[in-house]
Amino acid sequence: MRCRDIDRLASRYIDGDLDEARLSALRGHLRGCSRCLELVEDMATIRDTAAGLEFLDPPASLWRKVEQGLAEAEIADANRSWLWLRWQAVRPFLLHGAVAVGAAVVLILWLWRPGEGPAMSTPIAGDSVKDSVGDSGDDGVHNVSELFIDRSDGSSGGDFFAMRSRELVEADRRYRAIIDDLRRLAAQERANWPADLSAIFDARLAVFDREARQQKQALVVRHGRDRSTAHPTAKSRDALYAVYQAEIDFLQAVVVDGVVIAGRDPDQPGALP
Amino acid sequence: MDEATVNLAISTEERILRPTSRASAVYDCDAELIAACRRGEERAMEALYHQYKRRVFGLVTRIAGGQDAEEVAQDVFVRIFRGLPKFRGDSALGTWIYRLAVNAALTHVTKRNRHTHAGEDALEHVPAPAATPRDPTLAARLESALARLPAGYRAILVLHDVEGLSHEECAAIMGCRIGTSKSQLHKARAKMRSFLGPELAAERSSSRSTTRS
Repeated sequence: MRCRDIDRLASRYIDGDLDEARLSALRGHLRGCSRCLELVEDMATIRDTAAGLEFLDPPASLWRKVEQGLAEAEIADANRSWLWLRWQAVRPFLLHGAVAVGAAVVLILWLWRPGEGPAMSTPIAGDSVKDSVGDSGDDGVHNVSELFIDRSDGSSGGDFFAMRSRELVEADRRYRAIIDDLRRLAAQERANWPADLSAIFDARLAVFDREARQQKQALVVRHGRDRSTAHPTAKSRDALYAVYQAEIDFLQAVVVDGVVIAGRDPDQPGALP
Repeated sequence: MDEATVNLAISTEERILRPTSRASAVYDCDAELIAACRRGEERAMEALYHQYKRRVFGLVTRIAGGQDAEEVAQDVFVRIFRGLPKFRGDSALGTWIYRLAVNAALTHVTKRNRHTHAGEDALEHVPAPAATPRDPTLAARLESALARLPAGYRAILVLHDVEGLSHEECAAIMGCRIGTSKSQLHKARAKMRSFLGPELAAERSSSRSTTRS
């Protein structure tokens, strides 16, 4: 350590603001350099003397002057226009208001996706259907839980997408529960039908299954293509649910009205193709 | 408005404008004191004034000079009481008051010398207030040398060495980084040393003779 280093570090040394290595080096230098020793002593003397300076008492008249200054300021405020007073009242909240509006805009932009409608609703008939229906997954296309759930884990959406995925899985489950229930009821009716009508009915159900499978495959493709998207697009989901809804309408018509009547009137919802 | 009218307004309306708290005038913490001052309680305002008057007055006297100290201190306290409703508590009350005092003192110095520009660099060239008469004691000589320091150096030396604040507090008050505070203090002490050369040499020799004896 040289003298110019001491010139730079003397102030920090007397304040105890040096690390152990530099402290030791500086002390070693001071043992053999009277010039630097004087510098450090002088700095310490200045610091100690400054610390011992007496407090300065203000004149007794100061408080009265402060009161006078406050009174003058308040009287000046009283003469200001109402616009200025209103502005002063509003001004503290401007920043908070701007932040709140900004946050709301960001939230709306975040939630809003082109082509996405209002929050998805579960089927109405689902409320009356018991949840005792098991997984019908005869072809493996009905179980979309993994498709939705794995999107929420580890993606940047966090809780929002986890909640959203749970809603989607629940909606899918309830659709399938309704369809399975209706199919079971329709199967009881089907036992009384002639063979050709039953074949047509089965073919129609097969069409529904195929369409549902295709829509789910489209979801899987989208899911795999874009990992950054935390959930499948609303457009694909709506197409899948449209297939579900069409099948529900068909089965309800078959169960309630009977396929024979529908067969006579092709405009009826339960009419077979 | 003349002074007599203002004094009359103060005396006649004092009780209405500055309500007196029924509670004891002793405030356990700054938050209570601030809340009472915000309500306009006279006792609280006076308590806050007495709590900080010596520090504020000492600070502005040593930075802005003795001749304008009372005027600047009055301005500082008016700003304190007017600004308390806006005080958010981001820093300690004392730090906030110190900041107001230092800003007011430095602003006063720059206003007094309008031909210079405000700012830390410019403040180094601001002429110091008139020096006090020479005094044989080192403390008085140090006060005199302090008055000759540039205003920016003066402020940091008063805050750190006289008021005993840490560099963190000094940086918060001065609105600079901690490293800047340290380097400014070092330069201020070095300049003080150059001002006080003979006195410091005498102090050294006297202390050495004391040690030998």
